[in-house]
Amino acid sequence: MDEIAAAIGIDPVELRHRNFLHVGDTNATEQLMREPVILDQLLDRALKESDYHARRAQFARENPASAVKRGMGIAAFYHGSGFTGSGEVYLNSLAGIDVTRAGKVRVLVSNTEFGQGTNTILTQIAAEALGIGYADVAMAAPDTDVVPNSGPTVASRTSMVIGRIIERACSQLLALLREHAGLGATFTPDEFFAACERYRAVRGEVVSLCRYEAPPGIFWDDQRYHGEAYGAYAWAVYVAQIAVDTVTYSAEVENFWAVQEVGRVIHPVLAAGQIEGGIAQGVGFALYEKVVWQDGRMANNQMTNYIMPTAEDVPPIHVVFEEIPFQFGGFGAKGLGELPHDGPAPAILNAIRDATGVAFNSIPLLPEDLYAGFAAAQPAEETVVR
Amino acid sequence: MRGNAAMHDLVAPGTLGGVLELLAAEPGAWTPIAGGTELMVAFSAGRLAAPKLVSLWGIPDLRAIEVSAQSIVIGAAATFLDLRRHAVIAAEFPLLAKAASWIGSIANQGRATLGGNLVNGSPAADSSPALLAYDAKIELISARERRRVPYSEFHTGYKRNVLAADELLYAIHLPRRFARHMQYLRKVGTRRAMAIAKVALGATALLEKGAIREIRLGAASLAPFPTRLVQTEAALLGQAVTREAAQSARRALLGEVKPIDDIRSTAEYRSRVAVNLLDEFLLQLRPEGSRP
Amino acid sequence: MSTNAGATSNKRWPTIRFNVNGEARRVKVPPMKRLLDVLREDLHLTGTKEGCGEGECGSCSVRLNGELVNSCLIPVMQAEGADIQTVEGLALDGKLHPLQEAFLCHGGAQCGICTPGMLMAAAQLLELNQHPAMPEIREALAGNLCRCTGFIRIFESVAAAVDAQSAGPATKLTTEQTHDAR
Repeated sequence: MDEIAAAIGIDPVELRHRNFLHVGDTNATEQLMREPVILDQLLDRALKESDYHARRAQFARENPASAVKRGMGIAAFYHGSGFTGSGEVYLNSLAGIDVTRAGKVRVLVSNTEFGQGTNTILTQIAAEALGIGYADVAMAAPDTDVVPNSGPTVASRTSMVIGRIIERACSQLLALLREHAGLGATFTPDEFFAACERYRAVRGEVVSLCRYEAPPGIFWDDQRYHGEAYGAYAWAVYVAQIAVDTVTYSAEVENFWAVQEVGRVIHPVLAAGQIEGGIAQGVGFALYEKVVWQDGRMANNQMTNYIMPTAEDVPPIHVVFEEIPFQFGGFGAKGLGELPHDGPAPAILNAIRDATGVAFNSIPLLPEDLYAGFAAAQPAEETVVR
Repeated sequence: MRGNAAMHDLVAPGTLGGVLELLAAEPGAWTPIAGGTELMVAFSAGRLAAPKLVSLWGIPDLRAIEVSAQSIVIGAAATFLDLRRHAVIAAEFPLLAKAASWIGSIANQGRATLGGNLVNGSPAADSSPALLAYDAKIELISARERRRVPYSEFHTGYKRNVLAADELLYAIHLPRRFARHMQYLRKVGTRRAMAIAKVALGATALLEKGAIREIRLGAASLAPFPTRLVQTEAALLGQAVTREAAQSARRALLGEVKPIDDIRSTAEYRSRVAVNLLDEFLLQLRPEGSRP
Repeated sequence: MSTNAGATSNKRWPTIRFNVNGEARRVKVPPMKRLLDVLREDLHLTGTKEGCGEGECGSCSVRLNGELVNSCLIPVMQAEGADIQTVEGLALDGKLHPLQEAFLCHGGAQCGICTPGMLMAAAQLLELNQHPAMPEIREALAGNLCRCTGFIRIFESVAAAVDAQSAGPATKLTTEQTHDAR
């Protein structure tokens, strides 16, 4: 986008404003944007948080006399939540809750906690939907001998798709308890569990499962690759501040701002953790993590020579969430797990272009690659260019 | 984990004498292991060819750092944290303290030893450029004798050195005469920490009446082993830091270095950055505000 | 993958003695056996993890005689007589260490593999420096790799523990304080 802006002489910020999707537009698969799209707002917020214009002006003043060239770069992007196209329909996920005799609600999903927070947010959703305490809810082991098949833990789907199924299963149980076990319109947690036992006495078990339901109006044509590619999207604008050292040709990210609209944030700490971790991985992909192939083998397959960023390499990362609850996601959530990987590389490349005037379009960009790019842009001289 | 601990003998005589006896009795049969930060990596990877190892850890004679009026003598088993924490090293040999601060992590620095870094002999060794710039002498010891060699003569080829089969690296001697020298050290790695040097340059120089009276340049990763850049030094010795001198030095540098393409970097990048580092150092030598 | 399980019962191995988390322990294992493997396999202290086996990732960090070390690089014979602290020894009488509390509150752990090493490295830092600035926190953790968190919440957790431990008014540390001049 910055290349286009430069070629036609429009400011990169202005170019984006002119080309953003809005409600009522169609995208590359001719999907009509029906849900709110607030890219303009996100861009304005990102520029404000990062003090973009002031920093850019400062670097423009300082760069000529400095061995370290600094620049700012923007990336605006969106990432679909859940499986693409008909994927969720084919998965046909089944999930829900049951209640044990010991007075615990168990969330029954095959989605797996590995540190991203699945257990926490699904517990939150169930507790909130049932009107009971967080401590009253447990997660059943994700063993399909015990739990139904709610699909894999991928595709930025857990909070939105599975969260929504759990929410519905909870509402379904409350309706059953009200109809068959005398649960009142309002109730205490004790009354909830008492109703469950009355229900169990008649039915033998207390279980509520629901199947995935596609949001209305979502249709994907697998033959023509056309239509609603995703039921929902998360939207983001990221800003990177880069420093390029003209002695070593290395680029480092000095600061990073991430503004995104992800529907309802179920748990702010866990959500920010996903964004920060994804950005660090994106920074690694952009500037450090080159895989060296020799005769079909990965030659740099040790931690000493596969270079990922250390604690001294990651920039400060400022995370901002805008929230527009999505009606068909768990408590309004959309997906965000994969989103943060999309932004860092383009923001970094644009920042390098801003800092040095040289455009790069491949990653990872190691100092050797930057050096080659600068040398190509400017014929070699003996003296160092300052 | 591909190492098999049962396939290795590891003994710990606990004294310098005990170690030297063992090396004398079976020269070449026993591999000394100090902090283990190189050998244990090889062990875990199943690449440790040494069936018999003798531990140098916990022998006070080998780890002592002694200061006299003329010099500082650093025991070969001094760790990099020992170096960082030593007041005289921090004050008078800042390049060595700096190198000690970026060799691996703090966990590595507490175990990796100066002697081990030199005997391992990687061309990228972190301590080498500083030691070359400080005109270090290496003291070798065996049951037979003690001898010293200039550090610049210690390495003889890629991972080859002058140690005899029964010899141990005992100490590193640094002359306390660099207080008024301009000093420079920069390491160019793959990232800010935990990085193996793609190229590194250490330099000490003394200016008198605007001319370079002394200069020592130590480089890593520009040759099969860490080396002094003797031709570059010769191009600068006795010169004022003029544009011509700098250009002549750059040409000498490019002529004498032999960087390679490897898994970490390219020869071309290494050469180019070496020139940039030299320029950065020369800029430091000139009076404020002027350029070569 | 080779294992020493069969070899450890051989009578010719020396007995090696050291303290772990305040308790005297001893093992009869090949002297070259990695301290990491002795902790995990012989002493069943599996808090210490193996991430790389080459001293790069810090997952195996423990404290040995007051220094932070990578236990994957230490032949157990060199730990003879040593005082070793593992992550299992951080909590005191069932009460979590302030670092552990901070990690829980601030999202310092995601998958948890790097966490024991991070805690040991941070504990070592706070032992030597009660008021570290952000560059010192980053340096202290530079030998511990994390793939999940991007380190940010780990810095915040350590900063929070510093604030919790300090006697006077807390200086708010932000991840802004970074990248001091080379």
